[in-house]
Amino acid sequence: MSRPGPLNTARVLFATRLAEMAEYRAEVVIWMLSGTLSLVMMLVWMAQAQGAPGGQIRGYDAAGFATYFLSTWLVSQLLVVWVAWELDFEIRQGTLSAKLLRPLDPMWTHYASHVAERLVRIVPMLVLVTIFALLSGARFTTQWWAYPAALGLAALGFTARFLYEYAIGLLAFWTESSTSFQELAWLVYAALGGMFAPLNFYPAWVQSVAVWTPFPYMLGLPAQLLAGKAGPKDALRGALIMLGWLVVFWFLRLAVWRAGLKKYGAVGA
Amino acid sequence: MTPSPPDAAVHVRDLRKAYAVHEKEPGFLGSVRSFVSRQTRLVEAVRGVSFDLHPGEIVGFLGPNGAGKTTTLKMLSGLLHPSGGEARVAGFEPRRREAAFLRQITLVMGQKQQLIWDLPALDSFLVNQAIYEIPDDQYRATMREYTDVLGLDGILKKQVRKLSLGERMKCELAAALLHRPRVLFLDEPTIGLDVNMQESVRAFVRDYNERHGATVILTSHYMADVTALARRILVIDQGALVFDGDLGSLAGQARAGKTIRLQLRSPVTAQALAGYGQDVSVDGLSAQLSVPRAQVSERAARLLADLDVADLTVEDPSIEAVMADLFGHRTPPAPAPTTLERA
Amino acid sequence: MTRYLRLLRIFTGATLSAQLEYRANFVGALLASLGAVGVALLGLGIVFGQPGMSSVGGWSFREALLVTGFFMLTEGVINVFIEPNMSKIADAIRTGSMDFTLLKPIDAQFGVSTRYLNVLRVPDLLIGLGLITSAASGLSVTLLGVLGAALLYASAVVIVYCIWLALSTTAFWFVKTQNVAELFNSVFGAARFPVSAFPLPVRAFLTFVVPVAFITTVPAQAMTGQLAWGVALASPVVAAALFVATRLFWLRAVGSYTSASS
Repeated sequence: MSRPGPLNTARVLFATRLAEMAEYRAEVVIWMLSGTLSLVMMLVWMAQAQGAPGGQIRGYDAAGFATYFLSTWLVSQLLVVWVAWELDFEIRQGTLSAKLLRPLDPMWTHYASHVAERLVRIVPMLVLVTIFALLSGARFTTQWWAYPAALGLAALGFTARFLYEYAIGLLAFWTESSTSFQELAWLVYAALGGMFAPLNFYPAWVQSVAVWTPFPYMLGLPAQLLAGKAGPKDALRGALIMLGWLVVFWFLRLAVWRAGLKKYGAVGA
Repeated sequence: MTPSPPDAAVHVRDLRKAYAVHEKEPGFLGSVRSFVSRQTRLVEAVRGVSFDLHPGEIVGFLGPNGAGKTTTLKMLSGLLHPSGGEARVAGFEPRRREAAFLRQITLVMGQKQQLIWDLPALDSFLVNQAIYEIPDDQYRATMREYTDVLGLDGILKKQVRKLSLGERMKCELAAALLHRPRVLFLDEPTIGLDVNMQESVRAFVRDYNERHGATVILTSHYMADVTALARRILVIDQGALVFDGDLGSLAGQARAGKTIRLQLRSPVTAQALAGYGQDVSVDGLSAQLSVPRAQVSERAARLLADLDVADLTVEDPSIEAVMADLFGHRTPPAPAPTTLERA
Repeated sequence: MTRYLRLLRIFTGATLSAQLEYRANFVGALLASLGAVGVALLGLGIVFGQPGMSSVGGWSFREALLVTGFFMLTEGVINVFIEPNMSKIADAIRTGSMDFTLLKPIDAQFGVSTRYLNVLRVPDLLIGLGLITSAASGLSVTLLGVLGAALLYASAVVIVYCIWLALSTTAFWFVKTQNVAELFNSVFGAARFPVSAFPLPVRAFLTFVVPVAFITTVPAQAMTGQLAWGVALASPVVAAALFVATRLFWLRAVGSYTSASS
């Protein structure tokens, strides 16, 4: 009698969460439409470029802005993480208790949900990107390697974001406002990731701070790859940096989780 | 630390738990005051509880609300860390939450759901199979057994959100016991269920205990749960164990009789009923009174003969009533504050 | 009428007491407010930070800041007065507690619209007013302009309330509508900028389809005295029409309401 291993556990978790996300397909589309910051900024910059002398701002014409911001929008759709809200809810309502009784870290269930949601998201997302691209005149790169490279970076970026958002969500063990920290973290991610403008539009000192954070590599870089403005060397360097951040966030999450469990055990649900 | 007897399924010595609780005076001013400076006090929810359970034993764990039952169960399942004393369950120290320990136990808490709301219950079972790494043949055998005993046929493929409360509870139980735990903590497993469902939950627990020799600790507000399942009773009150013995001696100590409820066709006065029992109350065409256990059938027969009765039911006294009777209790006793401090 | 005013006072007292219970939330709410103003200012700051960029859609920095101020003020109005109530409509229908609201001898729309208040987000209102004041201090603003802006902003609040109520009222038919707020927010995000900052077709959409233009751009224009009379009249007309339409929609929803079975 052979016991099923962790691979089987992962497969079942993923399949179940995929079935659950398929139940939420209408909501998934609404969630997709709610992240419009990139699109608003795209429209503003396009109008600005049309009014600028020569029709360009820092080498971007209207179509260039459209390409950049649609790419950011696309990548940001793959980086969506809501685990902090769920943890906040579970910890405050005490439903975490039931999950703690199982011999598996509850993180894996959440991770499976998030990955499954991405699969549900991908079809309407591609449809929307195509429509937006036709309307705005965006032109994505023709280099085939840029697509798997951007996808790989997005996968690393998503996992890194999942881990640090998880750590933020766990703050609910100590404070009732963990979701506000999540909103602030989002602001930093959006700003340094390049959702307001390409990173080289920012003041020099902001740029020099940004390169020491993971954000430009998880959002701005894959977007630039799709727009054809970054090369394979940039992609490789970004991937290595993201791997480093993954290790950091992995241990950060683990430390907060252990401390949180100690606190939960002392005070209870 | 005393070594646990090797044969004990649950071994508890001088178990303690203290909490800091935040307090506020009522009203808006009270809110403002507590916003500025918080009053907390230390409450000892469990103060030095000791007992041992043999493998295969079913124990009823009773006590008024707030007595410390749930806190104790949470400590035994590893969700809460004791602030003192010793607990060993199936040979493990619960607070370490080792995977091997978690595979041996389960905790069922009323309506706290572990089922995935928007999917059929079967999906939740598959998830649990994967998480507990239950081999396929064991999974199938367990599912056959539970489907039989609980009557799960036809409800496993419905979305959980579309199940009735009773059906959901059946699935909840099956999911919680899918990994065939050896120690079961059941906290109010029949709360809110109708009489039929309560009976099938009891039958399931009894059957599981007999088949698998599991140890069961059960808390309930329904006397019938306890009388149907447990021979040994633990009573906890204000955080301390006040009774540990068999059901017979607990019931024998109870002076509380049974309650007879009447539905009448024509109104009667309380005085007219006073001759049949104590604690008479009349409300329009319904009335209730309590009679000594030994005289239930004789009194019921007299009532039916003397009055124009539409319906008559005999009920066990609630556990609260027995408890009040046994230990002379006013309802929920507040644990005494031990220290007062400012946060 | 006085009865309704008294009810407002009682509702406010109860909800204040409840929120003071969670003092840690104040810190959190403050962070959220700062986050919101951060997004709005960053967007504006980076556009105007580019060399040679002195206007967006024909608006100078201070004028655009005025729009951002009205945007933050509106965020405050939504977070303090509107969202706390509207987000509970879907829940109330799902759990069946809407039954109790409908049984009360007060107007149900008033009841569901005024019951809660999120004082924690009052900083949004203050930040919005602060931005408006500081932007206006560098512009030539007349008393007439301020009065006009105040009146037009009142219509804007009515418009926002009507859109939210209409979206939330759909919960009477579709039970899973907790996310409709997201739909509003996704379009409302555009109100951080004056409508003229957008390409022409988008501008038309933001004026005629979803009247976002009336919420922030129009009051700001009134303040700087750049408003055409036609638009000034259109705003209250749109608000009144929306109010009547939403009221009818609400009554229709309540009429067809069958309470949740479980």
